[in-house]
Amino acid sequence: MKKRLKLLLPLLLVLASCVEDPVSYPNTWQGNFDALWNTIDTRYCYLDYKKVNWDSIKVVYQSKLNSVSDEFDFFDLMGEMLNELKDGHVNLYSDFDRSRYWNWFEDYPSNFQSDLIYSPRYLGSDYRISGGMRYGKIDGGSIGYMYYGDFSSTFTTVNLKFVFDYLSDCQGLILDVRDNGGGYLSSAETLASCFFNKKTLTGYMTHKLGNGHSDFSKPIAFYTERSDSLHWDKPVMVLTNRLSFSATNAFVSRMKYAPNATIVGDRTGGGGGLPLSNELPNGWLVRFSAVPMYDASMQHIEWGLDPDVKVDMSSTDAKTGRDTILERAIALLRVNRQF
Amino acid sequence: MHNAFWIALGLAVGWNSVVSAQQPKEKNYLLTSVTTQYGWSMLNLTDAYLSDLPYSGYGLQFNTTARRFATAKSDRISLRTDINLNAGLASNDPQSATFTYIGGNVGSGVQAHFKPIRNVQVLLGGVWDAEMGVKIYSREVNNAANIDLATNLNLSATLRYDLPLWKNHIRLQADVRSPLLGLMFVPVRGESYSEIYYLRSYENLVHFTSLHNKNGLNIRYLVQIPLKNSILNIGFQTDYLKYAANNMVFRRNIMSMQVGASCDLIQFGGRKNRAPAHFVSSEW
Repeated sequence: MKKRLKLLLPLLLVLASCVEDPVSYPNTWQGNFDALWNTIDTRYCYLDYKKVNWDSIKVVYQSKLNSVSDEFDFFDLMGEMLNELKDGHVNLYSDFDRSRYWNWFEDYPSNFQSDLIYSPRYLGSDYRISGGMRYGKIDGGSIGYMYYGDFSSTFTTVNLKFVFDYLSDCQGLILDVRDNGGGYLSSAETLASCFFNKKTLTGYMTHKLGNGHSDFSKPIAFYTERSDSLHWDKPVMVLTNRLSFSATNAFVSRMKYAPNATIVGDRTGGGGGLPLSNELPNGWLVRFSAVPMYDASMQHIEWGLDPDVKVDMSSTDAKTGRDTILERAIALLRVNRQF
Repeated sequence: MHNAFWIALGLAVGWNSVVSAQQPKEKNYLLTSVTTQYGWSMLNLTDAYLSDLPYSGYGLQFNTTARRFATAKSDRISLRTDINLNAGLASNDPQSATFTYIGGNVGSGVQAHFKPIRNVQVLLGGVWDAEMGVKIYSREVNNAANIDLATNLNLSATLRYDLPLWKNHIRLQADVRSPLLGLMFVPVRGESYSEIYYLRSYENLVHFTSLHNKNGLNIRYLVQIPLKNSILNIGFQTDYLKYAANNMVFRRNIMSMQVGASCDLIQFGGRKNRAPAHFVSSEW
């Protein structure tokens, strides 16, 4: 018995020391640099997909660390390093600033002018507002128009029911999500479900299970169900531009599979990775894409989605009060009505 | 007449004594000893699902232990039930965010009593427990809370030393508990609770635990001072827990100063343990 105990006790001690302590970094510039680099190295989901050589980026920015003289310098350097990822979901938050990568829309035409939407030619000034949606009838009352500029601005099914009831005599609907930078994925799903007539596979997502750049779980399928209470079965044009980002990008990815939907405008901005965050020893917060989403054919949606009908706004049209993308959508709906 | 009264009273008392002496020996009723403690605690939390940084702060603690012997015939085996509740607020070192923590643990177990030497008792056994907690992160992020769920079979030991004093004694007690085997819920890093629910994504959520991935040691030291109708307890408790799953490490370290009391309750109920005839209750 004593012999067994002598064997058991060391075994218990060995087992008890199996759980390693989490890695901690000192609150120095070097420590914060290492913590930030390591967070991205182990948890950012697009290093392989974007072919980012994160090791060489470390060498480049490590060499610049010695030239840092104050916190602002250090923040800018870290922000610059994060911008190598070319990702609108990557930000560094401090008490005095927020780093961001905006080239994903700044390098492209804006393709949206809100003053045109609210001109008498389209919505005018007596449009209706329900939840986060602004809506009315255009083109002589034959087409419904709904502008939804923020998926964080929530709506209820009751809101949507009134919108659809009001527009029920229209022959088609234009759903404008230009300049919609995202918000809640649940709102994107709820809105998309109004345009499906049956449960449809619309995408996948995976999760990182390990520290390796490609240590992902097997894909988890997600579906868009047909909404039981709300349904729009007439043609719908979804207007997009580069600022249709994140949850809006996910909404458009779903709408690609809706039976009567056509995507019109510019390529969406992307933002296909669900963002998560981590903290640095100095209390700054880094946000980064952590959970990649794919369309139903397992293609990444990180770089955005091409429209079915590519249209850019014309400055000539804008000068005459015409929104080129919106006009094209109206024309497509008219064709649909066989005018 | 006056004498007759006193004679009659004397006979009545005497008869009653004879009758009482002829009654069978009264049944032993089990007492349940309840120790209830209130504490002020210092917390140290690491939850890699929410942040890699350690969080430290203060909180309040409540715990109660109820113990009774398994049978009235033997003082060798006792049954115990424990309830622990913790609540606290912790912040990271740079004070840029906080965790609000609420947690609880309910356990039930058996201990064998040994008396190796005079004034010393050693109680050894096991406790099965269920644990639940939630940490709410103050920062505006996608995954702003994490839930702890676990069930464990714990090794449990209690050491009691009765320090003799003039007419009474003070008891010094150490109560130790350590998880050996169990199951725990740990979400995949990056997977939100709404994804788990809506996508029915249940893989890698429930983990078998043993010493290879979960280490814990909960020690409560008590000094028990007998009073007229109860026992005053002054205590200190350390609750250390570390576990790993899904490429994340979690830590919880709670130290608390406690004050409380112990008292004995009579437990009865059902057909076997009916209330004794002389027992007065406000409920029955």
